[in-house]
Amino acid sequence: MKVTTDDYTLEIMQEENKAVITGLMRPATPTASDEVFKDIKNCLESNKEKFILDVSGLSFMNSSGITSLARVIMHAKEFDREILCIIDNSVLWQRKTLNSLHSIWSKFIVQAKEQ
Amino acid sequence: MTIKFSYGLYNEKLVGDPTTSSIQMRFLPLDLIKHWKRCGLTSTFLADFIAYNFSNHKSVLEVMSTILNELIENTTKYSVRKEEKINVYIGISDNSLTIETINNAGEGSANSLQELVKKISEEDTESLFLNQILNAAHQDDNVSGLGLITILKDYPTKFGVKITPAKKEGIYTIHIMVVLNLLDILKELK
Repeated sequence: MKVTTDDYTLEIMQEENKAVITGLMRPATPTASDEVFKDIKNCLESNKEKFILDVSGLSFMNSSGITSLARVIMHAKEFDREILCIIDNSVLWQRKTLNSLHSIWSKFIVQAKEQ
Repeated sequence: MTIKFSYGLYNEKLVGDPTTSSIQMRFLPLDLIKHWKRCGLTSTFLADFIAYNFSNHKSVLEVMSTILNELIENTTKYSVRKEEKINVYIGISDNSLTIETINNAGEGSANSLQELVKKISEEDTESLFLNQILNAAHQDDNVSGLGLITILKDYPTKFGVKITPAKKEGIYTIHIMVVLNLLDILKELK
């Protein structure tokens, strides 16, 4: 499944239990991107295996987007699912903000993409 | 009750190095509300302009755009009259970068900002970020309140807030100033 907007692309590979987001996500409100993340939540519900969320190609995410992502992490916590979040360590917001989200759920693991 | 409040940089005597580069922009919140993407466009334009002062242009642009976007989104959302101009100023000196936003807000927003500043002054930003994000995520509403906290948590900054009554009753002029230590930022980007 692939969702493409002017700003970002979200591709969900259900067989690999993986999603890749690229571009930039700066929604006006936290609920504006909830619909986009709904399919990721569905994957988390239906598959017990570790879910891979690759955001290394996401240049920007604003605080509304972060809040929406936090809701995904809380969903993973509710269903006791592990998320491996792949980041680009050279992008400061990814390194700083996403590492902070580990405090929400210990099985939300942030890992730098191999260069 | 009339609110008059100042915090941080607005209570300090600012003796900085001379400004070597600056840009200022004024725009209507209404335009950004109509097309939200304009917040990002404005932030990235200003960030790009500033980033040309640095050799690692791309990394500085990313950091600046992230910070400016949060501040511009906030001024847009909390401007009480969407047809009244917002001011954004950016100035660079040898060692620091100053961003100031000025907009008019209603009493409710002015009170909320005052409460947020109180929390920021009392709590560690990492735990404040976590509490705020958990609240926002649970409440299922449309306000995260995370913008300023994220900036202060993730980047080496000093900040200040000044709230003064505007001409019209119940309206307040909100000044927010963020000063980034350039040496620390560049160290983070290595």
